[in-house]
Order: sequence, then structure tokens, then C-alpha cells
Amino acid sequence: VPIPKQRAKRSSIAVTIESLMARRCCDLPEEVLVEIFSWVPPQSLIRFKCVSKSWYALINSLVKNPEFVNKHLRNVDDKVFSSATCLVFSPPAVFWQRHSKRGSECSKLFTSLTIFDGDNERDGVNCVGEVFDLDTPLSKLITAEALMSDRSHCNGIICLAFNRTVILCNPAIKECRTLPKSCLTISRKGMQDSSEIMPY
Amino acid sequence: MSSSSTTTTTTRLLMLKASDGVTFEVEEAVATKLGAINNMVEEEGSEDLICLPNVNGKFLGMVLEWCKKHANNNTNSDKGNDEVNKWWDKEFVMDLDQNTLYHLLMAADYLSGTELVDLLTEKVASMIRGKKVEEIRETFKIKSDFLPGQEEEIRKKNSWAFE
Repeated sequence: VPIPKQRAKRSSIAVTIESLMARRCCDLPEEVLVEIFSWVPPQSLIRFKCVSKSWYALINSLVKNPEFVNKHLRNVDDKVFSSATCLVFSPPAVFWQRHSKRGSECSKLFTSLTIFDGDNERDGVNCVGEVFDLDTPLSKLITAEALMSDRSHCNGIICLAFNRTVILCNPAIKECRTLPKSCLTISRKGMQDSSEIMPY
Repeated sequence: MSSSSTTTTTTRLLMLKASDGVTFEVEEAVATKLGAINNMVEEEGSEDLICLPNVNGKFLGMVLEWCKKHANNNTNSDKGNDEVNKWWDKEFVMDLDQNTLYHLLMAADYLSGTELVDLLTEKVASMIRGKKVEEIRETFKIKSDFLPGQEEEIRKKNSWAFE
């Protein structure tokens, strides 16, 4: 249990609220800032790295901290995003069509479709479709095999497995990571909750 | 440790004294919603008067109002309670101005009122999410201390977050 910190006593000379705030808001203890960040969606959080050096360092360390990541998943998933989110991968045919039309490195990897009950909507159902572009070394690795490969997801992290290569993608922060080659055979079991060992 | 049995309703009253001398008489069950108070009370031979030199009476009063609501609502365990508490919490934070919110948050953190800190930090987050970097600096009165070019580099690396 944290022991409350003693703060320096402020003088009681009349100061305007503005100047008081100006002085004190910078005093937000790190633990409080961390709590606030745990409620902020990923895009805003990454953007806030630009606020100052200390925010940059703090956010960079937080996204690698499993404890924070778990808290963030709990807070932001529950409150901001819908309860029923489903992920639909583009079928290979659509994928290749896009690929050949653009004549560039393929990047449209999958499509995410969010369906949730909208309280305010008259129809009661609200659909949001979002296509993620992943512009990563991944696109060079993609082959027909990859498209036929095992794909699963957990806590917003998408796992692709093919040819004994396992790739984890996090579309929320647009990052991909190829896992070290494993000697284990990849099973079709799907992805376990790996947030403990693989934060963002 | 706890000597009070569940059948008898002996409620210990605590006296909380704020930095400006304002005192509040509250039931132990209410005050111990705050981790810091709970720790003090659990100490053997603790006194009924607790001085809190870091919290102003105005904000201590608000913190205790929250504690009271949640302590009361937790005792009668019906299912609609969770909803009542949520609704009450929503009202509680709805019209807080930035200054009050800040001091309340500092008080809740100092007193280790975890649930209240959650409520207040969520409120702050709802005010800052989606905002621009400049607006955040304005809100928190932070001056950028990046060297020239550093900020641009971070923006470039994370350009998608600035769309």
C-alpha cells in the first residue's frame, strides 16, 4: 500500500486560480498520470508522446509494461469500444484483386468489422467497418501460403502463422513483430491470452 | 484484528481534520473506503482523531461524500445497486471544473481512494482523449522541452497517430 507523499506546504498568499493551476498541474504525480493514461485510447496515447520529454519516456515505458497493458485493455476495451467486436479477414480473392490492381506491395492484410448495439440508433445495430493497412516488412513476406495460414487474434493482437513463421500484429499501434523461429509445431488451437508475456 | 462482529451494530466514529482545521465526523465504515485511513485505523491503539494536513476541507468533504454514498450502497446488496452507484458517480463528476477535478484527484490519490481515483482519472481521460498535442500542453500547463527536430521525428515515426 503506497504511503501518501508529504507535499511542500504552499504559501497562502492570494494567488489567482489560473496561476495556481499553472504551477500545480505540472505536479501531477506520475502514478496519477499513469492512471489517466490507462483510460486513453491507443491513438491518443501514442500522439501524447509528443507533449514533452517526460511524457515521451513515460508512455514508451508503459506500452512495454504488462501490468499497464492489462489495465489499459480492461479500461479502454470496456468503456470505449463495444462489447461485441468481430474481426473479419479479407478473403484471399479480394486480397489478390486489390493487390494486382494497385500493382504495389500488398498491404491490405485484413479488414476489421465492428458490430455493436447502438443505444442511440433506431435500428439498434450499428456497423463500423475498418480496413487496416499494414505497411511493414510483413508485406514482403506475404505469399499465398500466408493467406491460407492460421490466423487468430486475442486482445487486439493478430497472429498469423505460416511456414513455421509466426507474426504478431497490433493494428492499434500499427506494429508488427515476427517471432523467433520456433521448433515447435504450430497447432491450430488459436491464440491464448498472451498479454502477460507479450505486451503490445 | 477486527473486533466488531457482524451481528452487533457498534459503529466507531472517526474525526477527520483537514488542513484548514475543518473537521468531519464519519463512521469508520465510510472513512475506511480510503486506503490511507484504513491503514491508520488498523494500527493498534489508533486514535479516533485523524489529521490530514495535505487535504483542504472543501475537497475532503467531497471525497467523504463519495465514500458515504459508496459505503451505504454497498451494505444493502441488491442487484440494482451497481447501476445506482454508476449513475451517482456519473452525476458526481459531470460538472466538475478542471480546478476542482485536479484537487479532488490529488486528495483521492493522497488518501488512497482507489475507486475514486479510477472514477476521476477516467473523467480526466474523457476530457483529453482525441485532443491535439498543443491542447494537452495547454491543459496541463506543460512546455515542450524537446530539442529542435526531436518532436518532428517522433511525429514522423508515429504519423498515423496524428491523422
